Amino acid sequence: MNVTRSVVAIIAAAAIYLVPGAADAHPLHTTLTEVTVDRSRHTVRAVVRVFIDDLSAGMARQRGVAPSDSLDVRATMYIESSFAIADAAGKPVALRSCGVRKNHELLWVCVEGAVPGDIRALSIKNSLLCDVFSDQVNIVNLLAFGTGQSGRSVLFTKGDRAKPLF
Amino acid sequence: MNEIATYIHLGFRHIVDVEAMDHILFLVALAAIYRLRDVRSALGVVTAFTIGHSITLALAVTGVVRLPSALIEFLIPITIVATGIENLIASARQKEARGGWYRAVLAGVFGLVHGAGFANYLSALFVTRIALPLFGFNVGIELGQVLVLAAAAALLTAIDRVIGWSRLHSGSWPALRVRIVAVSLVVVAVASQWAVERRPW
Repeated sequence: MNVTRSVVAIIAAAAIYLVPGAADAHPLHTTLTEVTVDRSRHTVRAVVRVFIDDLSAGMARQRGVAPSDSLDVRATMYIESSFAIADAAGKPVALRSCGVRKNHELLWVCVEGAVPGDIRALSIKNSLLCDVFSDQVNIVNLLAFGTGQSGRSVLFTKGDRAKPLF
Repeated sequence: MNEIATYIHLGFRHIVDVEAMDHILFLVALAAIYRLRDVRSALGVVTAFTIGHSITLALAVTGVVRLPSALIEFLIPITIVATGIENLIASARQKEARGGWYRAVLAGVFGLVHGAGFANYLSALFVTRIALPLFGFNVGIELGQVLVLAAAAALLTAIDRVIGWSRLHSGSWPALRVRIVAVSLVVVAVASQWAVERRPW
């Protein structure tokens, strides 16, 4: 069956070029954000966990940063450009940095802000790295204040708009 | 949605994504020797694979074992190559390719390697609160595998039809053997290239 063997060989050779390259290990492009809302103080805090190599790919496209800016500053600027919390009126909550911490392969970036009005009407948008990776998934978990327990979770993928936090 | 649904979604998405070609190719290699009527044998082997990768995932994520990423990422395509070669050897020996406990053991051992591939990622991202993400992610992976296997069954059936239609088979090369050899050669060729490109040295 020379014909059979030839056909099989041609298919095998073609497959090397046709199958998508997976030379790099199959990555999961995911960020995890834990949001804590303090109802008594009317504040919201978000801690974004992002893989540093993914973040570097996103920051490579970043504009308006000075070469002298530190990783912490650039990371916070990048997060603030793609992550937003809005109040009941749809007005963005002004977020300020509350620290950056490196944890092995990840950077934990903390931002927080004061929320005027009904805190239960907050909405959130998280398009972090969606412009870089087509399979990017951003998880936002809402933690109950003071307990660290999570109940509600919101997922964001490319093209998603703002979603209610509660 | 609640948190568990999020992690199920994440695991499912991870497997069915075209970027997960290494995992998909391994499932295709496992499924390549089966016909639709062998579904019970196929499910047994895939279950062994699932048990294997669940064990490693749990051990690695909970910190019981530490696994070097570079080595694991190299070993994953090696398991795919080995499965493809095993398909070819069994086929060449004209053995009853669908039976045998060794294939389930092989799938289980190789599952240990594949599970380690997810482990570093999950343990880095979720740190201490790992139980729920681990469980949900695993459930999502299993659901994704069912979908991938259904797609693989459809693909293999289509290949069988092409082989039958083009009369590539003969008395000494029955249609199933032609299919096993064709699919396994493709799998071995592609995964070999990945192994070379991921070599840790």
